[in-house]
Amino acid sequence: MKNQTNLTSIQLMLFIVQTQIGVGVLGLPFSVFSISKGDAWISVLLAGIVVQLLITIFWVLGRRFPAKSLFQYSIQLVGKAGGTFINVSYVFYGVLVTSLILMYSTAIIKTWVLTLTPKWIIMLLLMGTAVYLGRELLSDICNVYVVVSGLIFFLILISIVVLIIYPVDWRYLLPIGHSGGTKILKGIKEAYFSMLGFELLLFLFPYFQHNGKRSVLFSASMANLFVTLLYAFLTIVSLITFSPEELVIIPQPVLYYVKSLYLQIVERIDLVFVSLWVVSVITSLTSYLFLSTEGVAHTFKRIKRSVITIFFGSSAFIIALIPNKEAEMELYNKWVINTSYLFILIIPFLLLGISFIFKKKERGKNV
Amino acid sequence: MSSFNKRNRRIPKQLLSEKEEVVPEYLTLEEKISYFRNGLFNTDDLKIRELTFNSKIMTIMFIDSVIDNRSLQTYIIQPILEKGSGDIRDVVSSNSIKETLYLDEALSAMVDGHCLLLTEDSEILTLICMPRILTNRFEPVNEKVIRGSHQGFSENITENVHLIRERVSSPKLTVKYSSIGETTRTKYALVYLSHLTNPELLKMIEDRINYVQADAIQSPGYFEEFLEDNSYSPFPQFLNTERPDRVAGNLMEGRIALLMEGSPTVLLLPVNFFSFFQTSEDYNNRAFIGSFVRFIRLISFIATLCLPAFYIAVISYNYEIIPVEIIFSIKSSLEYVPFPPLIEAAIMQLTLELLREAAIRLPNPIAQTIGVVGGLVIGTAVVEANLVSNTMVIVVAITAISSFVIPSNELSTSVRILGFPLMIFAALFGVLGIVIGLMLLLIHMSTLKSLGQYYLYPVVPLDFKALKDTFIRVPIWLMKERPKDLKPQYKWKTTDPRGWEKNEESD
Amino acid sequence: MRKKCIIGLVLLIINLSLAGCWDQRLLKNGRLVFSSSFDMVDEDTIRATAIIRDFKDQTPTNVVVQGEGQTIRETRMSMDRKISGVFEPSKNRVFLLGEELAKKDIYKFLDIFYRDPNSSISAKLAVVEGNGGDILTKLSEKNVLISEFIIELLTSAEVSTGIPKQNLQTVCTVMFDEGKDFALPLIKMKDGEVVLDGTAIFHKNSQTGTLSFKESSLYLLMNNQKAKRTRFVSKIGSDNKMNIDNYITYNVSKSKSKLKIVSDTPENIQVKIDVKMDISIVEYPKDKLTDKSELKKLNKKISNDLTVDAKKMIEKIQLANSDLFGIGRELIAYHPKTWEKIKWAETYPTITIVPTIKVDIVGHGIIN
Repeated sequence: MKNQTNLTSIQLMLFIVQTQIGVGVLGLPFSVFSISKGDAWISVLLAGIVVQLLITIFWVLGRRFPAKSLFQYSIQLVGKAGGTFINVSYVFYGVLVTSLILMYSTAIIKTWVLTLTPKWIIMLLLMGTAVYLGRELLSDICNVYVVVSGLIFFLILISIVVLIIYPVDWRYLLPIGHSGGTKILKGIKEAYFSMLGFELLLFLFPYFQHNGKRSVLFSASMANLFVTLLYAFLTIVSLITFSPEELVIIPQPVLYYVKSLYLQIVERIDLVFVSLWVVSVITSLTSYLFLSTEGVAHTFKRIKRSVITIFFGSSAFIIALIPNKEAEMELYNKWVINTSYLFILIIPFLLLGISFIFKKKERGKNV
Repeated sequence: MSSFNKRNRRIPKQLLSEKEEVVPEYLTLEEKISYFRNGLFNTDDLKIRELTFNSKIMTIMFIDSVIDNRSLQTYIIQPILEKGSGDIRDVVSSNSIKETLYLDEALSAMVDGHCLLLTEDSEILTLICMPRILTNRFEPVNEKVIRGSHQGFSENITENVHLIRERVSSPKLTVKYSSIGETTRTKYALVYLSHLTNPELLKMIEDRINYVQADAIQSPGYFEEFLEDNSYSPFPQFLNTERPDRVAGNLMEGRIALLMEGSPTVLLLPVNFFSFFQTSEDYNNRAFIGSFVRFIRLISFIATLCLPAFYIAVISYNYEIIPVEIIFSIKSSLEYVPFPPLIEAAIMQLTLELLREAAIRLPNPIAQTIGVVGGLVIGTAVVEANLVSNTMVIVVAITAISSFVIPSNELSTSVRILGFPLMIFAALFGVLGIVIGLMLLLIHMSTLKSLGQYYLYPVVPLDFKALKDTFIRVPIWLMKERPKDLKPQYKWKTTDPRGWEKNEESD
Repeated sequence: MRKKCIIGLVLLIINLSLAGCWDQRLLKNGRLVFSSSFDMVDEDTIRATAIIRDFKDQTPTNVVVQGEGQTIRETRMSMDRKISGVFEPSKNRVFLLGEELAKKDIYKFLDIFYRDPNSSISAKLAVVEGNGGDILTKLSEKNVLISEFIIELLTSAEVSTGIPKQNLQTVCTVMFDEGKDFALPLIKMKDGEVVLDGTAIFHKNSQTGTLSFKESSLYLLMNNQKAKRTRFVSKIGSDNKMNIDNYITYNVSKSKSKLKIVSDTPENIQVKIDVKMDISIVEYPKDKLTDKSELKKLNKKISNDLTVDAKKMIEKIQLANSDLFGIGRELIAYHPKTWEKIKWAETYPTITIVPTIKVDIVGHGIIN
């Protein structure tokens, strides 16, 4: 941790952005729409606010232990046994989410682009690249993320082109609020799933705290703002491009509206889109692999980082191979989301509470 | 920093008489000698010869690489030894003898082709002009430019150091000689600017060289492999060049040059990826032209890498990308070809590599003919025989041309070879395979380091200011500071060189 | 360990050089379909006609293939058995639907195109009076570039505001929208020539009527879908000696249309469509176009003529129960309470739509 002091706050922001933008971006409008109908975009914005609250809570928690990541101060707060248990469960959580992302992205690739290629080969490709990147130190990972972030602007550009060329109907959004409050609130749950990735802030704090604590909060909030606005924008474009009845049958609306663009020079822009999106998926995979590797690397200092990453990569790969049908994937998905509540809400709150109640802070440092 | 600027602000050269106010200090001979030694940062090409003249000790100090040694012996040392006494001016036959009392003036003159005579108990420093005369140097064949110097290095290490010293006449340019290789004892030199280069870099390279124990070092390429950060990477981490102006430019950025006896190739280290795309001509031309050409070079890099792979992916997997009008003509050219596109591409690329290798060794008169035969006849005949489709020939030809646009020969071959794995990826997985391949390549390049400096600077640790000289070339008066990656000791380059504009406008 | 590596490597190389990989669809092996048509032969069978583009020594030729089946995919499989190579419809640019097929639910037939990731859903659709297959076969005798012919026909009609700009995807969106309906271009055979004859209007997913070319233009203007050029000929007089003096031709340069729901009581929904047009005269032998009173008179006459035509067109649309203006969507967006109380499919033919067209002459060519 000491030799990576040249990380900037922009890198933190882009790290979180790249982790959040992953599999969800293609199917987000559909999954939120199935509950909130025409007000899906409101749900997305509200989900962003919820995430912002969580980020602030994580920041408060991290601020009390500026130079330690969750893996270390959990032991301090709950004792060795409890702390190790928490660490191991976070590592496990990282592996679970990795395999979830892998499953879903492979399913989309298999449906849209490579229909006949066996699943395991696609997974191997994605996983291999993610492991190759994930075993590096944080500074190298951040550098690659910064370069790759330029591709997100292509995604936005293509969406704007669709908005201009395509016959869109803004009336699909009206009347605003017609779905009713409960539905909108339920939709937040769906949107929140695609915004997962901000919990890595708990573990990144020590690497970036030399920039000043305020700037950490600022970067993380900017990242969240950017992702929320991007998702809301994509949702709105999907909502006005497709009629409500049609959207019910389109599980990846973002890809679908790109597919129907006919430009003079190239036709199937959705292939370009899928290629850019695969890069985002790989970055999300890498982030979660990094999480798992971090958890283990500090306890077992003698094992090389690459070995740990390869181990977790292979385990995620094997787990991802198990579900065969869409129904099984849905089941796994639900299970992981429910577990994520534990990791994102319950444990940090618990730790924060213990930290306040027992006034346990990082020794020798002023808050 | 600002005081430094003011101190180094270019003052028009003053004549000796205007510096009358400075009082010279009184130093003994040994103190003077150590002053000059330190002023030249203990460079290895400083030579000292003691003589006796007028029954006093006289020391001749000169820089070996800029002085014509033979004339020194014949016209200075020999007469002094023969005559033994008298006035220096009558003994030495040279066209210019200057006397001065100021040490720093003598220091700057020493790097400028003068040798210094110091006499015991005398404050006068005599400077005798005896510059080395260069024989005609030929322009290196691989690095031609249209507008710029046409000089190139030779096989003699002292001459090469002279060429560099001619361009950077500063006493702070330090040369460190040494030899390596148990049997061959090849002489090599490390050249750098002591007040500019990061001392940590220097220490790093010297440490690495100290580890090398080899029987024979035949060429800088050998040496390169011992010293570079990652020998398995397809990308070269040291820049090799045969042009003195390129070396001088890079030295002024804070790099280190490694010369070897017996080879005109000079290694520059550490470099980043974008240095391979710069030529000295960029800076000699206008800013727009320079930017445009640089942009073309980067595009050619991408084309060499991805074009054949992209073509294979498109005709094997997703031909819907091609607009309808072209698709039929491509299809008709593919009609009778028996091989899958990957094999076609491999055949054409291999043929191209064969031609290239053969062309290097061909005697000159035949080279032209083979060029015609290879290019036109083979290309046409292969298409007629339906071994390869003609669109594939077009693709491979464009790839080859764009690979030769890259100024560095090593990098261009590396990129061509890197195209093969990408083609295989494309043949297996289509466009997705290309994306995965490019990601792997990007990850590899981002973690690659040259002597501890990031290879993809300024893209990888993103530095907006340094991007001015990477993808485009902004006018020189905008480049006020050096890029940060080499951690030079000072960053100042120019200060407001177009300040006269304001003066002229206010008239 | 080394042996395994070597074997693995050899296998990989062999794999690459022999077959290629799972998803490879070599361009070489595909037979590219450029246009196709679907007709109903009888109650159960669909006949598909496809034009495959081939090259014989650099000149293009066409091959006509026909197949029959119960679903579109079945016809494709049957056609695949009749040709060498793989049947590749991914570059298909135009689909012709026979009248019989169009009168049934077209979504059911087009479903395969929305489901297949490789299909080209930016292809154009057109309805054919009679059998699409006949048109394609007829064209293939005369023309080599059949598909280009049809596509250019449709594109140029779109540019002159004759037919709405639709492709497979936009049609799907409207098909699923309960508050809107669409129209597709109508092609027919007239005296041995293939002619674009207006549009076919749809209610939900089936064709229920047709509009002539002029009526389609008017509809597009009233729906704010004006393209580059729009030319109309109006009758403004009836008692001139030469017949040609009774007509005026003009080009609409700017047009703005506002749709307003005046009353939204469920029993009596009234809609007003106000159109303001700036036109420039293209053909008017009587001249005298700088005279202000003459201009005023002409304005009034043309406006009346167009309003009458619009009324007729709206009658046709309402008879066909085709909500081309998206009035249903307006209700959903701005008057949701009314929408919930009515059944649009029954109410639409009974509502009152009042068009008003106001015309203003702004140009008259280079002579007066």
